[in-house]
Order: sequence, then structure tokens, then C-alpha cells
Amino acid sequence: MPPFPKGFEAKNKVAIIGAAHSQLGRRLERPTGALAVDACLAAIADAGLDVKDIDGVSNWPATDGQGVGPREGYNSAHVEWMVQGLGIEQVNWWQSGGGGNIASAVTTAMLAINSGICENVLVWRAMWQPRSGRGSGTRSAAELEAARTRPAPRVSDEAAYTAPYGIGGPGGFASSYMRYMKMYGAKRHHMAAYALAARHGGNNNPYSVFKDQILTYEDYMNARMIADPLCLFDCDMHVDGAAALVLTRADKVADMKQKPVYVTAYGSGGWDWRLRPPEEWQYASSGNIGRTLWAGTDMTPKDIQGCEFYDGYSPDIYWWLESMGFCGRGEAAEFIQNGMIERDGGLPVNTFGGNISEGRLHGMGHWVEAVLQVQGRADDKPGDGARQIKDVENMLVCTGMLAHGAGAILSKEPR
Amino acid sequence: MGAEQKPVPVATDEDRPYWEAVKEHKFVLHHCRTCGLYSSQPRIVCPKCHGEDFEWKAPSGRGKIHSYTIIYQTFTSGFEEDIPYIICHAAIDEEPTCYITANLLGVPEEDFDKLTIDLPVVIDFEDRPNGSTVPQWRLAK
Ligand SMILES: [Zn+2]
Repeated sequence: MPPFPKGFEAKNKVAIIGAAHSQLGRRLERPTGALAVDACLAAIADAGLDVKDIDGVSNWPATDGQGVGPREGYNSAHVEWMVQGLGIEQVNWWQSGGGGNIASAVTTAMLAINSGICENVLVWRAMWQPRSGRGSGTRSAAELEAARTRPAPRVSDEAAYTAPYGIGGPGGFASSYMRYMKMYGAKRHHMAAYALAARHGGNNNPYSVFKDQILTYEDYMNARMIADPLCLFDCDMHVDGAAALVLTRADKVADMKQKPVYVTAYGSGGWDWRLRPPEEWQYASSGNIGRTLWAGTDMTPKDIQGCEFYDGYSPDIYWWLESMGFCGRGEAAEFIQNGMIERDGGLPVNTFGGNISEGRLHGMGHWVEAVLQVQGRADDKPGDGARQIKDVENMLVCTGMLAHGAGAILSKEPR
Repeated sequence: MGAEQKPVPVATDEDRPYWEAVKEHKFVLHHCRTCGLYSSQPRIVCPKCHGEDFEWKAPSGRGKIHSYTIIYQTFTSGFEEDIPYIICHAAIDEEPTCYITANLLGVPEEDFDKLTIDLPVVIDFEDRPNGSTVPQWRLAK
């Protein structure tokens, strides 16, 4: 195998200068495309730029864009639609759907800027849960009745090996977590430390759908099981909403409105999770992200003041912490105890709530929070002390574990 | 309609021998003639030796639990009355990288606590009321 990279060529050459959310919520009236535009316009304004300054666009996933206009949508507002939606006149570079996660869209934007092909790139992720049909999660009385009398679906190819067994929802992730528990002796009560830390972040995050919902240890331990050992509060929450970033050349940041956030280290990885058994693919994918990231920088885990780790399901935190070198294999369940990952602990994790306590933006919420933390403006109102980590120099953000994923260190100063 | 609604596997040209064998309560897997790798689903290129010469071959049907989960909220019609049911990923004895995912049948709810990884399992077959037959895991005696 080729050696891991000794240096990430784009480090210190790209800065994130805008970060913003649209409104987030359950079952919003506003269509996907409008929410995506809200987030993008807010991120551009946050950067002190104008739409006409944007010359690159990057998004994940690529879709047919159904419903991004006035109609209800499904999980994406695609690149072509956004170029029209914002009225961007000159697009020097665009990228749609490469890789397997929003990390791929952010990553390729960094590389495009460093290549010199474009200067100011807009990256966004829009999520929207349909009111009925595919992906809706709830069904009307008529749909339930139709489901009761519908003939058995016929499934072939890959689906023939999974659907007839009633696998769906978090099944595969639950098996990964079960193996982790059996291998290393982790118990459900260990994970409560993460669920509660994330909720504390969510309670202090004005965008969180759980802003006003307190979660107690008892609530967590008594929660109903979805797929043992995953309970309700280990699973993320679908929301309607969007978040966006603006990235630019680091040599252009002197005149910018916001303090620049430098991308100072980068790692990526990927694995075809369908061909690996549960738990092995998590270590394979996040492990590669960790090895490539640390191989390309002189920094070590000690230089990191906080982490934003993708958490579609809470046990993702264990694989991230171990693969990124904060503790040894099988040690994360103990590592997160005693307030370690709370905002004021030794290594704050998911200060904004993560997917499980902000809402599922497929990782974009993590990138936005890492930016805000580095800029020192993560508090709800400046100076209210609710969410901001003290004296942040470097934040680590990692999203994507299933297929392609990436991690980056975002820093206050070039490193 | 209940269990009648469980999804019915339909063979394609690529995996017809698999599903025809299952119908006769036999278990065959795609097997690379060049290097001997068993795969849980048919391939066109072997990821181990890049060979393209495959056969359908019967392994012993014995395996070991890699992991499992117990489903309490199902997302698949037809499984409502089976809750709680087990999904089990087990490697076949002949090939530690070949995992077969199926339900683990015959474990009463009061014995769920005794389940763990590495338990030996064997392939069995379930004939369903909707006419389909699927391979399933059972704990080895
Ligand atoms: Zn081979």
C-alpha cells in the first residue's frame, strides 16, 4: 500500500468564513428548496459576501431534485437547482454527490479552492422528511389500511438477502454496537453519558429541535428499545432544514467579515460497508480517517479542544474517539464518563447536540458547530456562556463512516 | 395479512442456483474456483484473486455468531407479530470473511440474555405461509 500522506497540500490554504443554519424543525411547512436557500443566503451573508461572489458550489447527495421547488421534497436540494435558486451568474466549479457523505462535498470544495479553479465555494445540505410515502416515517390511516392488505413485496438482488429478514432502520448499526458491548464489556449506562452530554448541547442550541426537552439519566435508561442495544435516545431525529458553509482561499481572508477558520489537517477514508461485518467496517472507515489525518500534521490529539463527531447513532462516538486516537480500542465507554465530553470536560464532544439532540443534518450541523467554536461565537447570545468551549485553538470534525468520510482540524491560526 | 406480507425473494439470472437450492432446503454459495473464496452474494470478479471462474458450492452450513440485534420496532411489513425477533450475522466455518445475515430462530425471549457473540450456529430453512423459503440461522445443538 502507498504510504499515508506526509502533508496535506491544502492545509492552511483554505479557510471557512461563513456558516449558518436555516430554521430546523419537525414537519415544517417550508419546502426543501426554500430552506436550502435560507441556509445558503445566511452563510453567504455571514461571510460578508454577496451571491455574485460565489463561483463554486458543492453538494451531497446527487439526486433528481424531486420537490425542491414549491412542492415537498426529499432529502436534498441539488446543485443545479441551487445555482438557479440563488441566481448565481458564474459558476467556475461545481460538484454534486461525489463520495458518500457531506464530508465529500466539503473535502472536494477544499481541494478545488486549493487548485485555484475557484475562490468562494458554497456547500450545503438540505434535509426534508416527506409527509407520506417513502421516508415519511409515519403513515396515515388510509396508508396503514393499504399496508395491511398489500401483497408481499417481491425483492431481488441485494434486497433479497436482507428484506426477507425484516432488517431495516438501525438493524445493522445495532449489531455493530452489540458486538462492541460484547467485545469490550460496555453497558447501556455508559452511553447515557453521551446522550446526556449531547442533550445539554441541544438545550443550549437555538436551532435544536430538542432545545426545550430535558433528558435525564432515568429517561435514557428507561427508554424503549428500537433494536437492542439501541434505544430511542441512541437514534438521531429527522428534521426539515438545512445548513451551509462558505469556503475561500486563505490568502483572501484579511478583508473578510468573520474571523477565518483555517483547515489545518485533513484525513479521509472509506469502505464498502456492505461487504464487511458489523463493527469491522466502522473501525476500518474511521480508522483510515484517523491515520491519514494525523500522518499529515504535527499536531496530536492533545492539541484539540473539542470534537464534532457524526452521530447517526450514539455508538458512532465510540468508534470516532478510538480511531482518532483519544483512547484505545474498546476504551471509549469508560473514557466518556465523569463529565469528560461535556462542554466543560476534558474533551467536549458535539457541543451543539449532535444529530441525536440537534436533528439530523447528515453532518452539516457538525461542520457548522466546529466553525462557530473556533470563531468563539457558539453561544446562543454572545457571552451567555451556554455552549462555547473556552480558549479554542483547534476543533476536530469528523463526518461519514458508512462509505466515504472525512475529518478535518479547523483552527484559529494556520498550523 | 400479517406474516403473508414478508418480502418474497425472487431469483435473478445471477443468483438463481442459490434460491433454487434454498427451495430444496440446500445451502450453496458462490465459490471462487481459483482461490476458494466463498461469498455471501454472487460476484463477477473475486476480490481476493481477481479470478472470474465461479461455481455454486455447498459449505457445511455451520457458522459462528459475529453479532446480532433484537428488533423491537420493525420497519418491514409482515414482521409485526414476530417482535421481538433476532437478526444474526454469522461467519461460515469455511470462510471467516463470508458473513450470512438472517434471523436467528428458535430462541425464546427468556433466553435472549444468554445470547452472545461466537456462539455456533447452523443453517436451517424456513418455509413461509406466503410460499417463500429462506435460509435461517439456529443455535447449534
Ligand atoms: Zn478468488
